[in-house]
Amino acid sequence: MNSVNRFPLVGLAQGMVLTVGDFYSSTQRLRAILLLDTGSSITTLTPTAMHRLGLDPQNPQEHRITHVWGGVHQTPILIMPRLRVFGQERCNIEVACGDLPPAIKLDGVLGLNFLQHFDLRINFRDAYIELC
Amino acid sequence: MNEKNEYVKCIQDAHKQDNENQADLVSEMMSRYPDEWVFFEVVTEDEYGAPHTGRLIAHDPDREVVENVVRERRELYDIAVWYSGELVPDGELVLL
Repeated sequence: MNSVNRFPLVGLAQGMVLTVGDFYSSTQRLRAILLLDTGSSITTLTPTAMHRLGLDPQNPQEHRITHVWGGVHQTPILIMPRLRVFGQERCNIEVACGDLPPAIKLDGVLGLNFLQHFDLRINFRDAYIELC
Repeated sequence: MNEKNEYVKCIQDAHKQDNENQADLVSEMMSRYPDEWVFFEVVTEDEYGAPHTGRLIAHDPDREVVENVVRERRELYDIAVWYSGELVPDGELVLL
């Protein structure tokens, strides 16, 4: 378990804020590269990342309507037993399953349904993040 | 299986075992295989909880090749599959 609560800001050079999300299924623990996005309602993983966790995106808990730039989609939603990011964690959190463009080599998006439970501070000038 | 094939398989298994017993810095693994997908088992974390050292399981420029290995190695618990090149093509923007 990490003992710090101030984390380096990663990805700014590529125009993003990136982090490692620690996803736990009943059989696997996956260190996924996520884009931090306070404009996304829900945390999302690609189908490939879901498969790595032994989860089946074809068998979701439910489908939910999601609005994206490309239009409106029925998006599969799965329950993730545990998600840990920036030293904080949530259990049984909803995670949407959605593909990113192939040129983007990320595993998903860290969205509001995780972040809203904490106090998020991003200091761009000094390049650090705090989540407490 | 003839004697020669058995010997070759034995050597291959030994190399595989050596490889899996060895933990490397994740940063070194990523720079050793530029522009490839790198599948590793996490061994230790850094002070921020991110993977610090790991055991290399597979690497390849073709993502599907590596994902096939992930499917075959379900016994590994703490895993990561990271791309060692640019996560977004240089000069391009992300708008999700």
